[in-house]
Amino acid sequence: MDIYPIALATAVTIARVLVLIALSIVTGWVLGYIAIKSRWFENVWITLVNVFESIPVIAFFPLVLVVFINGLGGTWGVELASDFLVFDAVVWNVWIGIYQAFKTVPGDLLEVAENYDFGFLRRMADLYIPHSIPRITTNMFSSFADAMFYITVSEVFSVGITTYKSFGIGSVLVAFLRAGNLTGVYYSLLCIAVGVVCVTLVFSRTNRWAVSKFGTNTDIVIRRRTGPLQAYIQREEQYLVRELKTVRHMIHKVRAPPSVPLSNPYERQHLLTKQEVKYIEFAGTIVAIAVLTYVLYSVYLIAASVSAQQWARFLSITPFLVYAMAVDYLRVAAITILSFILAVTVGYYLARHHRISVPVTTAVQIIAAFPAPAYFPLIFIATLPFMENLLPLTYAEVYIFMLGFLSCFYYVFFDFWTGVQGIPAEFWELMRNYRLSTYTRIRYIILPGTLPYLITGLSSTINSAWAGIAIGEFWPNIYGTQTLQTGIGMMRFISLNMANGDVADAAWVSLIFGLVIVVYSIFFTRNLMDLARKKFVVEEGIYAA
Amino acid sequence: MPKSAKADREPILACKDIAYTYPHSKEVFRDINLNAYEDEIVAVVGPTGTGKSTLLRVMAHLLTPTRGHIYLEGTEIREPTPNISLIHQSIATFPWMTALENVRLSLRDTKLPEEEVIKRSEKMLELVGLKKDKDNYPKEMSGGMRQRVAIARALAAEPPVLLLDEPFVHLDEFTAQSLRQEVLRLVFKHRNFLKSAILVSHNLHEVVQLADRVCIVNGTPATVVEELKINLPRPRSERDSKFYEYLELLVKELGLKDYRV
Repeated sequence: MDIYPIALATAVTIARVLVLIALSIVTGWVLGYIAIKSRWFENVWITLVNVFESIPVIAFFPLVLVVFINGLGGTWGVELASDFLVFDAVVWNVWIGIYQAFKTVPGDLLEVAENYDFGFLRRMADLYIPHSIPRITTNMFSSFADAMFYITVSEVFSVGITTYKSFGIGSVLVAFLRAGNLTGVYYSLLCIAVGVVCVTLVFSRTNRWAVSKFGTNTDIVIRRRTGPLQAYIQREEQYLVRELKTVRHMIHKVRAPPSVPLSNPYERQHLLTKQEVKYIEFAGTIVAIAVLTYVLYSVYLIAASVSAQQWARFLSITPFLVYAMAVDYLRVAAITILSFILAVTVGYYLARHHRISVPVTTAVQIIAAFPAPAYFPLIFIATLPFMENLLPLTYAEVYIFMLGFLSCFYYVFFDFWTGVQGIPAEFWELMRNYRLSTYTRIRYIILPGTLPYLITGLSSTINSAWAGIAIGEFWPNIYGTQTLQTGIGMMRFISLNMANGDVADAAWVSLIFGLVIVVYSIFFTRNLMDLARKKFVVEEGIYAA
Repeated sequence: MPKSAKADREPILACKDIAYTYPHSKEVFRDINLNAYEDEIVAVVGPTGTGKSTLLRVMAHLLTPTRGHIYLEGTEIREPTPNISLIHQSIATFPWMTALENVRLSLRDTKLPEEEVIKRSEKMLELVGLKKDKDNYPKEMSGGMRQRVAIARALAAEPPVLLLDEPFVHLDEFTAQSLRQEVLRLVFKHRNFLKSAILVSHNLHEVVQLADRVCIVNGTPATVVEELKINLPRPRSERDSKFYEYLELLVKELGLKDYRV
């Protein structure tokens, strides 16, 4: 078998993902800047980002179909549909990272920029963009992983009897799996592995460089480089350092608490003249109102275009959909609980046994970097005969659970691990000094001390668990003619209706799910995060004037 | 000036020939023999980097000595124990717990009944003057109040020995002075459980004011190079000429040329 086309497909997919990450970054800088200058825009934008971030890519299929496949059509329509789905996977992490970075530019640096009377471009080029780079490079890992996770569904998807494909390793891998071509599958996995490792290495080095160069509180030494480009970069860096050398106390941490306050009046009031502030606030308000109006108008148009008969059908199937959603929530809850228990117990053990923490966390990183849907069919086909015998009625449920778990467990693990490492040495000493039991330590110190990280990790875990079950509940031709599917589930309903070409029903359930996510986000995640930020900040436990 | 007075009494805390080496690193100190007797505050002073804080952690067995033995009231200590409580330099309180909950923490895994735990915790808060603030969170308190909470938490375990690692360094001078008096009061007036304290400090005024005996550590690896007994009546006054004599002696022993007494 010729590996060249497979390698080319991998390169195309990775290039597609990287280009879309770059697009996310550029749009994130623009939107982030508007957000910190206009409270209206900030509220609308952040709410939408929080909501869309929580909705699995698959739930966007009806939209993709209407806008790109039916609306635009042709090869470009399919390519843009794939790009949109990949963009949807990468953009939220990057945007939130940039927004948080812009919100946490230290006040001292803002004052310096004000002193030197930086204009918009200088502020962006010398202050906001450099300050956002460590967060961007950190978030690129998860954005890339998310994009690769969905690659098998975003590069190839079926509506009714038509299958839409765009060239890339996702569509190539699916073709091999459907044909039962094991050699092709192995070659594809090998190419993905090489690609993932290369990108991870580049990201890792970039991140280290970015943190050392642009981080405002870091012990990592900047590695000097030679060559014309490096010399240019160093000149720019020296210039910035010269400009900002009066700043003595830069207190921002590279990995700041996972959320930031929605408003920081300092940023709005300083740096700009009153007229400029008014202008940007006005522009932001107009953009926010325009976005809201567009969303509401689109909803109205869609609602108006639906016949009374169709509405009656939607309402009649809603109780069933709510039940299916409840079943899916149970699945997500089970996956999340297991991930949480594993993260806390293993994370705590590793925190107390440093020697094995490096190999274990590296192993988890490798698993996390490799998209589960790419290798899962092999696990499925290898274990199916055994599982069918062992659990003839519920084996599909086990596979869905397994795929969901493999898709998400590492998020809460790494966030908890980061939180545990942030627990001050003094707290560990007190735990030992008072001979606290493991239960007391975890219950009274470790869990509260890592709560902000746990909430972030659990939030990502829940989102990714949805992604896992979204793929697993109805996976036609997972290998050869084998189909993995469950009897009931909201995600199965969406996938099945899309496959049957019934976009309306799929869109209806996507809408209901979106509404549930909005309510969940506003009343649960946000409140919990606010509480964590107010009360459970472990850094405040150490008073060192 | 009397030096290195040997006591005939049994030490409360005894360090015998202890040494410590960080993993994959050089030896921090060696052959440390240090005793703390009843009703005695022992200060450990020395240049920065000589391992004074490490020595306190070894005494509390938070770090295991690479050589030597530590005895508490005649019994060898092999693991951390609430009977030797450490007060940190960087004031450590749990932000999600009230003052009372912070103090209760040291009694969480004891077999005391709940009422007794609360009663004792409240008593300790009263002892450090925070009875009215028991329901306040650390962020609602000043640095001095937080350190009082930490002291109350350490005392709640009723330790015979208190280890103080520069406990006043992050406090303003007024608060530090009042807390020093409190530590003296605790060591010498509440003899029911607290018998001795070991203090690490860079503040020589503080050392002369509080300590009965001063161990000077120096060198690489560090050893106790000198031991000095401070025979000043309490309460000690900085206006006392003898106070300055001790201060000058310490400065001389430490070789601090630029230190202004």
